[in-house]
Amino acid sequence: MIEKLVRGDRSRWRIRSAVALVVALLFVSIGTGLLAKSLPKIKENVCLISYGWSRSEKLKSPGGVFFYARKGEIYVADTGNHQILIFNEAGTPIVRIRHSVDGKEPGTSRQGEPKQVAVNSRGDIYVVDSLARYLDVLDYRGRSIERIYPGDLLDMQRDDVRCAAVTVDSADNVYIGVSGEQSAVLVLDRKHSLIRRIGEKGDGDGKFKAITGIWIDGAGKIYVSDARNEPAVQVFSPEGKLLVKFGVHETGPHNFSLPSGVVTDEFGNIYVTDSLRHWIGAFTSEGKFIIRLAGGFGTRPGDLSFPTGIASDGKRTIYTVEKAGARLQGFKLEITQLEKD
Amino acid sequence: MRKIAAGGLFLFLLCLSGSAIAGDYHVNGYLICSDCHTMHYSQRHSYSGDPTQVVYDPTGPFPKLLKADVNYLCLACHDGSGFAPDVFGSNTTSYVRQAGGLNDPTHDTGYGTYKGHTLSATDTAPGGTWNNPNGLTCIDCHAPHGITEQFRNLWTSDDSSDKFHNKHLTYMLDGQNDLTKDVFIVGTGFGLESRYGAKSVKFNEPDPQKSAYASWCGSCHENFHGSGGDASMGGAHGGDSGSTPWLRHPVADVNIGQNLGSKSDQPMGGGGGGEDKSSLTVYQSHTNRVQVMSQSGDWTNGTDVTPSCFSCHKAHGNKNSFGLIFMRGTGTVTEEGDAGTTGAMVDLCRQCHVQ
Repeated sequence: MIEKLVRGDRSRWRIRSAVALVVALLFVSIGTGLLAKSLPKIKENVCLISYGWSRSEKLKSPGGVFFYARKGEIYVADTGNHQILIFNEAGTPIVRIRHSVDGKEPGTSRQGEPKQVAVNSRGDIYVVDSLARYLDVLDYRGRSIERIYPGDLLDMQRDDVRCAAVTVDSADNVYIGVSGEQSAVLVLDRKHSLIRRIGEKGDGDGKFKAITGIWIDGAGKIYVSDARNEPAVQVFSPEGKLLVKFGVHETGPHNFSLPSGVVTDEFGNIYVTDSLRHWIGAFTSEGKFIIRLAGGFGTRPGDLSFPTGIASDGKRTIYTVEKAGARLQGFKLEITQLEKD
Repeated sequence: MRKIAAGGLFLFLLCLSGSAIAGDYHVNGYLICSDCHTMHYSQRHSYSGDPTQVVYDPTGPFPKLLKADVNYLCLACHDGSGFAPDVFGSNTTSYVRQAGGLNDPTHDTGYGTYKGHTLSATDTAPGGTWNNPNGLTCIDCHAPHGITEQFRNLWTSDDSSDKFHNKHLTYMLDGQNDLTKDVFIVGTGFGLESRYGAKSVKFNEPDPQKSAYASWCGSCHENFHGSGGDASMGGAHGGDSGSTPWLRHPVADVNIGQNLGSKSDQPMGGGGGGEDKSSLTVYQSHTNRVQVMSQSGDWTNGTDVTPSCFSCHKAHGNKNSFGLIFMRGTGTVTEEGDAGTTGAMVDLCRQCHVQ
């Protein structure tokens, strides 16, 4: 009798367990389906690889890259070769501009180490150089025509702050990421007058510690990657209001080790390079992780080796440069987006 | 067995999820295990299960489960990033780096491979027998996870077979000196200059017959350090009394201008003699001085100051041969000294000698 009762209990338990399992699987599949629908699908195809000016003069520790939409050119800060390299969209190097900075003694100059570069609609080239405390403005021929000291803009000693990142928007406003004793994004109009300051040095929302990249999307939103602050990526309105933030220094694909740059595509998806994880992470416009787009440490097409910079045409092509990989790569994105933002 | 496995798993997850418990300069920093390490060097899909292929460098796997070449990992942050001490090649900071910059032959900015320590070099250390057959790495000198009590996370070991056995190099921070410690970081706060700038670092001399700093360098460069009377050094405790000449320049155990015997502290000659000696008067006459150890903690006017390795060399290197600091005594001080790259050895010698 007891045995029958036990057997009966067991069979009922098994039936209940099976039902519960089916229900759970149903929920999981529905949930997964919803999740899948909520995220765009992105695939990348390597469309460009360049190793530098020539076979004998390869890129050396490149630090930054910028896509000049007006001419379809790619500007690379070729740090170790003290120059800016300009590539056409096919990845062929077409121009190189040697970059010098002030020497230790007045009136002298020395080889620079350009780290980031951006270009306005006139073709003026903005260069962040690791060895200079100013943002160097070059004309299209590479002649220095102006120097912008963030220290002056912030009413600080020139040596106390440095340019860490630069970009330009479609209206030729210039965005300078500043690090050092103070940290902020400085927004300059096309005549280089300070019109806005975003953020300050510190931890947390709306603050910065080590800006590594700035990007402006078509709507004027400002994207900032920071190597040390948490959140690692922050998105601001054109007026400087914090809109979106994501990523901390922690494990997990939605987090970062050393974010080194940020851009978006035409849908507003966000792409962030991580120097130490050797990949490009793709995120929704709300900062939700979608996919690890490219990378994995290596030297084959699509691999990355210490990526230090990222650029975008604002549509469906992104470019990266790698410090150790010493190359420029371009990726065409195949994006399946339910609806455009 | 299950308990052991569960414990192991817990520790592994703890390691993955928490901040790395690193040493002094990394403990409050910004590192997690997976920044530098990977467990199996075999990942083939993303964390979320996406089958996007993850490729690792075919030259790997790397020792100590590192994700990449150790030097590249270190330099990802420590080469001109602006947020971590810049230790490689050109000085991208606005201050004179205490240790200078490691060789940077790739950037061709004056940091040749004979001008300091060379990453990846397989050469035997000058004055010693040690080399890294796989090439010099940052972690041959620095403990990447840190050793809290060690200056700059420089290695020390309890293992008697280790070259860093008992090579303690202690320090104090934030303007609070302790003369029993070897190094005093004068700078306060967490700014890079206040920690790594040459002006922010002073050297104590807890033991007037030894230099902990020189002893540490001597882990590889054995013959270049020691006390007076040591076979490799010559001299005698307290200096050279005349019958025991130095065989190598002292790095401890003699104060500048000390133990001149019958000779006065007048190395200019002119009747006083002592031409082969050092002069505290000469040293103190300079506006710009090379760094010295002081037992009393008075580096400006103290009579107990002693030269050591850092007096003449930048630990990482600079644009001068051997990382030498050519310091004439006046002018703007750079990492090469106030004479810069146009200086000569005599500019350095005359900090203390005027033969």
